[in-house]
Amino acid sequence: MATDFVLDADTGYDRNELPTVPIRVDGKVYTAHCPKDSLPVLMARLNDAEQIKADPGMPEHLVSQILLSIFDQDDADELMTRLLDMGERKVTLAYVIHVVRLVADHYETDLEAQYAEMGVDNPLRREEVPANRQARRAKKAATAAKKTAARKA
Amino acid sequence: MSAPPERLAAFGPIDGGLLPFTVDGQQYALDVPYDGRVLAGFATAGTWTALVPGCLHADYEAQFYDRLGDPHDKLGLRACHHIALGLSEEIFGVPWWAAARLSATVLESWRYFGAWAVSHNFDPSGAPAHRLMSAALAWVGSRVQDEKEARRVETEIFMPPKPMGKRRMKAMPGFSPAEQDAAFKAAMAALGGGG
Repeated sequence: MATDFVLDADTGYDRNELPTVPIRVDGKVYTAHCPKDSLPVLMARLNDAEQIKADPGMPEHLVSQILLSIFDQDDADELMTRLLDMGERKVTLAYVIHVVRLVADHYETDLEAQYAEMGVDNPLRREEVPANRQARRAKKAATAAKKTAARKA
Repeated sequence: MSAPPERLAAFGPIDGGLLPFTVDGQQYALDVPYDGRVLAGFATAGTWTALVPGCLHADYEAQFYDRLGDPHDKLGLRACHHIALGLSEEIFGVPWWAAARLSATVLESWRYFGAWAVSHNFDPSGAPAHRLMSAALAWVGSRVQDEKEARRVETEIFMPPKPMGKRRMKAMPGFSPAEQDAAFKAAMAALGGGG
């Protein structure tokens, strides 16, 4: 006998739950949604050489789904057309992944809370570059020093 | 697609192979590895995604992943988490968090668990996950001194985490290599050996 699971419509992903964010792609402003929690699974499959070898059409389908996970259908279709255009210089696969990561960064707090409920770290969080970390610490220290100085004055 | 899969073993957890489940009536199945150490590895690392969707049967993979990628479908990683935890007892014979704690404890003290397993004619190599968990429970049980400690250890293993921890499950106190080493030396001393 198979175990039956019922998806709870109230706790599932709803792309309209969080406010959208405008994002400029090569001069044009698009509207992005908070990505679905399964976006990392799609991105991981994009790196699965064995699966891609078995199904050469899979990357195109995956990129289309990745775009759809953050953009509305029309915008996702437009970006996909540009991506597949060999004459297009700006919208490349690397650029699309960069855009997706920017959107994920914007929703980092919400995504982290979602993943924490599942007992995992946010797979979309980027490793902090040491130079950035140093700059952030220096900025924090400078702000703290300013506050201390203001209190003493 | 072929006919809906039937689970052959109707009594107790499965050894491996086909594990059917449905999501809102839609048929799916996992192809569960027969080597329990693979599954114990997933549990130790807390990677339930390696089970669902990672172990989906090839017949259902494409459709399941399509649903994961559909922004208008409620089937997402949260649902995968729910399914993985829901199927855990059919795979490990114990809840997911208990499998994680037992696996972490065994992995951290493999030397002692392995020795115990050999002395009890249990071979962990290639054993199904539920047999590994049963052996781990028996090994843990063999180390406790009295009923009070047995109750404490059982609580530590089976208490559901609140909320589900973000970290890897820690081995249980009293079962670290150092503590096991001390217990082993004490046992050897009591037997008059151990040079």
